[in-house]
Amino acid sequence: MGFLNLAGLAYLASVPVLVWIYRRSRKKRRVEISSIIPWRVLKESVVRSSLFRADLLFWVQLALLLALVLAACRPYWRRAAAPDRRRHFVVVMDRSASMQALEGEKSRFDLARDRVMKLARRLGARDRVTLIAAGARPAVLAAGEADRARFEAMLRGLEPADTADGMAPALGMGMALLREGEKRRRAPGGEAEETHLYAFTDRSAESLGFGKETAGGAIHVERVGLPKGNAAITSLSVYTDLFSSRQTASAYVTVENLSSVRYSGTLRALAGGREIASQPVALAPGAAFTTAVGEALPEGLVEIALDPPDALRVDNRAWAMLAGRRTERIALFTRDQACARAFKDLAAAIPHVELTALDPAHYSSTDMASYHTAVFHRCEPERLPASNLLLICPPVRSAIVPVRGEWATGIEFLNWDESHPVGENLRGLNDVPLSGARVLSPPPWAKPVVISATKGGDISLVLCGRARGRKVVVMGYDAAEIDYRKAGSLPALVLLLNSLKWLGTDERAQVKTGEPYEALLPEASGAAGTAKSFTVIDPRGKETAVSAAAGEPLVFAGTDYTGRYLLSGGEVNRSFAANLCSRAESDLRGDGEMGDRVTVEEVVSVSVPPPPPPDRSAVFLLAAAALMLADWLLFSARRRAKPSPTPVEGGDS
Amino acid sequence: MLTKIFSPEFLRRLEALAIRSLKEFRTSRKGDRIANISGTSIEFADYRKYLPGDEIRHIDWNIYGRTERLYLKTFKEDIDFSTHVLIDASKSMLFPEGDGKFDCARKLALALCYVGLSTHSSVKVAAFSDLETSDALTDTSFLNGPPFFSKRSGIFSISDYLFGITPGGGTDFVGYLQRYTSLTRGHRGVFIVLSDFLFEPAARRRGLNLLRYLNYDVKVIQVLGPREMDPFKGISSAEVVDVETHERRTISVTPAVRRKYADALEGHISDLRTFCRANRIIYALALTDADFESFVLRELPRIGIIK
Repeated sequence: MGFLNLAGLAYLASVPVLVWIYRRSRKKRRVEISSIIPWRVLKESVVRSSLFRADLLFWVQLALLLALVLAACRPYWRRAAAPDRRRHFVVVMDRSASMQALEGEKSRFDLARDRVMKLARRLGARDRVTLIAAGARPAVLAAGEADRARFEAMLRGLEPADTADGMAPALGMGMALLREGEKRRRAPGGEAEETHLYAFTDRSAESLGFGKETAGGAIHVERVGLPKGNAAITSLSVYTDLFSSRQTASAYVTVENLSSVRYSGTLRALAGGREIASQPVALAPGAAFTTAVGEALPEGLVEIALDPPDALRVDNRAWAMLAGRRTERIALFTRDQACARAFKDLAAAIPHVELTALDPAHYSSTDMASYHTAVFHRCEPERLPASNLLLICPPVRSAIVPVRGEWATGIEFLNWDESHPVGENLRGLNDVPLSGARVLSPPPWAKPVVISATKGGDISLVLCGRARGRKVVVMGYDAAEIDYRKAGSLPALVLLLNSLKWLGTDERAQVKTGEPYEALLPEASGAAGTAKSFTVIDPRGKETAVSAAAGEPLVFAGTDYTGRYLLSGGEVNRSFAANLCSRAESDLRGDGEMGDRVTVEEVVSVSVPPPPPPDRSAVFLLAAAALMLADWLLFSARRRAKPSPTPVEGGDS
Repeated sequence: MLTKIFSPEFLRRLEALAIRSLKEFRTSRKGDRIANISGTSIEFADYRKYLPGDEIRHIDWNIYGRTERLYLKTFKEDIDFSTHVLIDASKSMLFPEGDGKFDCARKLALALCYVGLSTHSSVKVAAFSDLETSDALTDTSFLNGPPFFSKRSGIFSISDYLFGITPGGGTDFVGYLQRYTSLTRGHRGVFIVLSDFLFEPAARRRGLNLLRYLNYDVKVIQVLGPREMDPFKGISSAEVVDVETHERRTISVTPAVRRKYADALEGHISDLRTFCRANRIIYALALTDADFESFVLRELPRIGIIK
């Protein structure tokens, strides 16, 4: 039996009122009488009157009350409705990192899985189920599965990932199925299949974007887990000063206390299983603390550990992949000798930088394997090298960056984005004179970092971004025209060096779990269209084969777990690390900061409730009427049983 | 005052009634009643033979002339007996609350006094209670009551007296009767007791026997209320307390308990009724929820308390 109006259960509060009325009526009263003589024949009552003694009338009245409460709840019979219906359950299971939080013996994910198992046991012979795992990317693990045993086996094999929340796209997929099912059901002569969407997550329905409009509808959000405190590593940054003579790497870690109590612990750095640094951490509730781990970290993998472990262990570990000292090799392609000289002078002044000036006519992408960065001055290669690119004054018919105008004059540096590494420390750039610039049209992958303005509107002077696995900086103005020996040109020099520094930094050695790992592998170069195979071994030892076409970046999307990943194949042998570092996942206190929400329009469009099952409250109303009659008859019988007063009578003499 | 209590019509009908006495009393005072004893009234009673010492003026000379025998002509006596109306003023007359037993009793007493005074009888009213055990009573002067009245105007003093009583204390029936009868020696006549008689059967027997011994014509009116008959309304469990003796008892009301109580009360009433029947005492049961005027004008004459 189910209920259409569970709020009707609130009327159960009237049961204590009934008990109270009976207790009150049973309460011992002090009655003053004229004489004790006729009372002496009565036995002294030994039963304590304060005890509640229910009689038949009470039970009848209680049954009457319960019948009315049940009628108010608008009950329906499940079994009666089941044979006619065919249902499609779309189950979305949150498998983000926060689902690993322990709730006593079990994790939140285990609790959610138990509930899904329970749901699976309710499947009828004609029902089917679709399982969508909501990790970093939604994955359909079972599509319209009708075999319950197979579904349960699949569910048992499902594990939570170490990734951030991805409920919104998974729910979007689920709702698309829901919408499709509803459309089919409503079509003339359509199927009689009802589609229900069940989401099992540790987030509330409200935080997912579901509000009251889903109540009683086809969307059911079942929340698991209770709010709890947690301390976590929420950020890990590796910094390498490319142009420093020492060229040492540093790791900066942010630890946050996401609880309402004070946290004390130890932050340790381990390299090769050996502790190389240790630091006590004491944090007030809600406080954050950022520190550099160690002073001179060794090359390779460094594990950062926050002890003691707590409810969510995955965020107490982070890995930093530190690059070793290297000489930055830059290839400059220019026909302008003055430009070549200027850049050579510049490179000579910077330690660990080697610049080779080449004629663009001699460019060959296969010869670029030994260079980290390629600079193209007023030219552009037909085939991109497997290195990062700095394009200075790209040609008008550039294949990489659309150029709107050939040359704009009378422009100057106007504004820049200081939050981007290329736009840092550019104070005074406005005073650097410019003769002119190409009018660039920013492609989707690029972001304008430095802009200028003309009568026709804003124009981008410097664009930064990632194109086909490479870092690309495009300068619309001719950076070689500026005389960097002048003091006034210092901001322009800083802009150029920032660009080279950003291009030379490989921050892809650390990725966040769930984010794809992209790498340009020189070894992958070859004839266009040919592909090479590589193997990635994840922290759990699972091997995954990936391939990359020549000149194209290698993309590996299976970064579901934190730890070290090994990429190998041919002569390539690289490592990278994946870390959670997600404040939203680590915050287990409630719905403070959560992931994406489903848009309200999307919810409303699918929240049309299925036709309600037949209401059986009339049965209970009839029962209530019968009980009322029984109650009245019983009460009347009792009234009649009472002795009536004796009428006036005369005596006789 | 009186017309506020009784309607003029009721009073007019009371005036047609008289207190009925089963006994004939030889008292020193002449009254309106003709006693069936030889006396000095003008109503002829009988003839008897002359005995030495009889007054010669009573000899019927006509009979002597016809029979030459001496006969005396005797006449009936005009007598006046006293009417004592005694009302129970113990605290028990106020309970059960709402029954109005005491109100009913004093209205009955007032009506009976009015009937007595209407026939120029000598009427005295008094209230009895337990003088020694009553802590609530500071002024016990009401226990003696007003003097004897024989004129109808005395009804106002009687009314003031009756409606000035505040019941209180316990019941010392025998002790009070002893004291009262010693104070009113020589005023023999009808003795009407109005009470609930909810005290020990032995005490009421002793008190009524004392009155019989003193040759009063005793009449008993037992006043009870409907709640006295069925005190269980709205009660499922209670601690009952006797207002006079403060004796208490805890009871749980069940149908069996109701039956037992009704039987016990009926037994207590019938014990009094049987005693009265056996000793030529007129008994009446007045229920406070019954029609008062009907009880006085129909029931009391039928039983023989008034005529």
